[in-house]
Amino acid sequence: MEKKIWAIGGGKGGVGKSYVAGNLGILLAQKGHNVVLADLDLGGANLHTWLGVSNPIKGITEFIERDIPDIKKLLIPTDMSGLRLISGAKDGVEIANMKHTQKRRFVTALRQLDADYIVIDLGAGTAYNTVDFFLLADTQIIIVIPEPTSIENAYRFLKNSFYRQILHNSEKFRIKSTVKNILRKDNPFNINTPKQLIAYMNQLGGNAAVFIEEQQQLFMPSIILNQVRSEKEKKIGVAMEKACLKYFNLNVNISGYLDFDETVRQSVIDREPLAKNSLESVPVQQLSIICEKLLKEEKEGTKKNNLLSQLAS
Amino acid sequence: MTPQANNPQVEENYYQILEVQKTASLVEIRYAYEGKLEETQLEAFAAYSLLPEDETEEKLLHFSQAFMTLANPIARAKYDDELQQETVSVEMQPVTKKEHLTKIKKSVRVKTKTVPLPLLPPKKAKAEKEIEIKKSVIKNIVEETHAERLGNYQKLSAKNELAEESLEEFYSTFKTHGGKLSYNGTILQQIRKIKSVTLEELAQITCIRKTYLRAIEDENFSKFTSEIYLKGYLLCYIEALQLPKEQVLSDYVLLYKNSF
Repeated sequence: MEKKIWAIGGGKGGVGKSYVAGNLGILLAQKGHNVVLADLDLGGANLHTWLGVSNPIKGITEFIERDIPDIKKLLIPTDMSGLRLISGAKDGVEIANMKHTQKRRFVTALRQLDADYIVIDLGAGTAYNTVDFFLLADTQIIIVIPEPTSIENAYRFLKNSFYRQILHNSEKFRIKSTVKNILRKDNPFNINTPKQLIAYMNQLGGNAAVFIEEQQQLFMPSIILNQVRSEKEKKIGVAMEKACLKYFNLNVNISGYLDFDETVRQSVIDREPLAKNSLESVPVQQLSIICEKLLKEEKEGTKKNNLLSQLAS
Repeated sequence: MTPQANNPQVEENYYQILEVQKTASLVEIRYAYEGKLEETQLEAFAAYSLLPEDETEEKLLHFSQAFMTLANPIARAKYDDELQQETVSVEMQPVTKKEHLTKIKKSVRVKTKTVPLPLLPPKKAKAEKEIEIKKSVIKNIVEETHAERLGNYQKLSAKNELAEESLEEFYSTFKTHGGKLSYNGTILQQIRKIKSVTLEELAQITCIRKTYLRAIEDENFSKFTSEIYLKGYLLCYIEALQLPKEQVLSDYVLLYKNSF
């Protein structure tokens, strides 16, 4: 089976990225897959605490700094079969500013891991490194909660990701200088949204138009709406899909909803992931539905990872 | 390149704005308006940081304009006349058969559901003829309520006119006290009482439930799920009592915003 990377991001902190990543990892492992959970919350990693693994002595920091050159040695077994963890960075500062070569080395190593699924928990923020790890995933998931701050950050995250993807992939089409010129800091063509960028590149015609169309099709992140408290809030998901199409001209896909649930918080306090023991609970049931949907989309999807080939080459 | 460029807005008439039939009853129009408010609110929320705020405002103004015209029988009749004249000179937009049919279906269904009950005659036994009968009943009800509302409107305009002097007096007390008048719930209520308009009358005229009107006067902001609803209802309140729109709206919305 081909190795799959799922990345979970979303811009804002505290919206449930680790919660979703961790539980999706557990659910995949329960299906009999060999899963590695990678904590890439660069600067604030704590998936280990959440999974009940206390104080890992080794993490990504050691790999990046070449203290432990073999990524396999970072794998920490958990008490769930089929699920292993790569702990995040303890000292975040240098990692959050990871250099391109370091990033490439890490991604290549990650791809070589013996696993069916690698589930990446990204941190908050829309920094280049976070966005890059998001883009290298086969399944890209954004967590949003029905609050303006979270929605705003999600759009910013989407926008940055799309621009970043375009910059990365433009080399292949030999239009990198064109793209770079368009996205210059002084904004010479007055382009403020992906929609305007798409329209402008289509106007250019030729290679640029073909390129932008391909990039639009490649960029299809999924959204999970978390902490939903009413039927009305549920509608925000679909409304966001529409807004993305209208204002960004990008296809974003709602994968599902997770109701607000008090037990979720308790499970974090107890350090007992819900998917581990409370299979019948509503949150886990809802997560299961989302997981199935993502697996189905992955099976049908024709998405290929261009960024990875570029990063790994 | 601009977002508007891809979305050429054809000038829509009020019926199209609220997506109702030309024969729509007042109840339908109110439901449509409330639906539009909800839709706008949802869109403003989901497109937060993408959608420019004045675009939402503009939309809201469109909806309330359409609603207030169509909810007012006099204004509606006048508007219908204008539309009639326009359609004579301009060719009607083609509507596909299917679209037309579904629209008709929809309006019939809504009508039978939402028409006020008291005037309904005892139920006829024959199910076959039921739909036909209902249609004629609806027509009667619409006509009767139309006449009733026309009366209400005339009464209200009379009250608005009559109160002009006493209202000026009311305003002048603020000036003599040297204070600047800032509209709040209490002042709105005072003005309404000076015009001797009851909440019931206002509710009939505006098609807005009494609880919301009272909430405006009581500044009971928890009644409004969002600013958009508040503005939508407040605009109708303002229109009915012929208050200075811009000032009331800005004063009152500021109160609302500061309450958080």
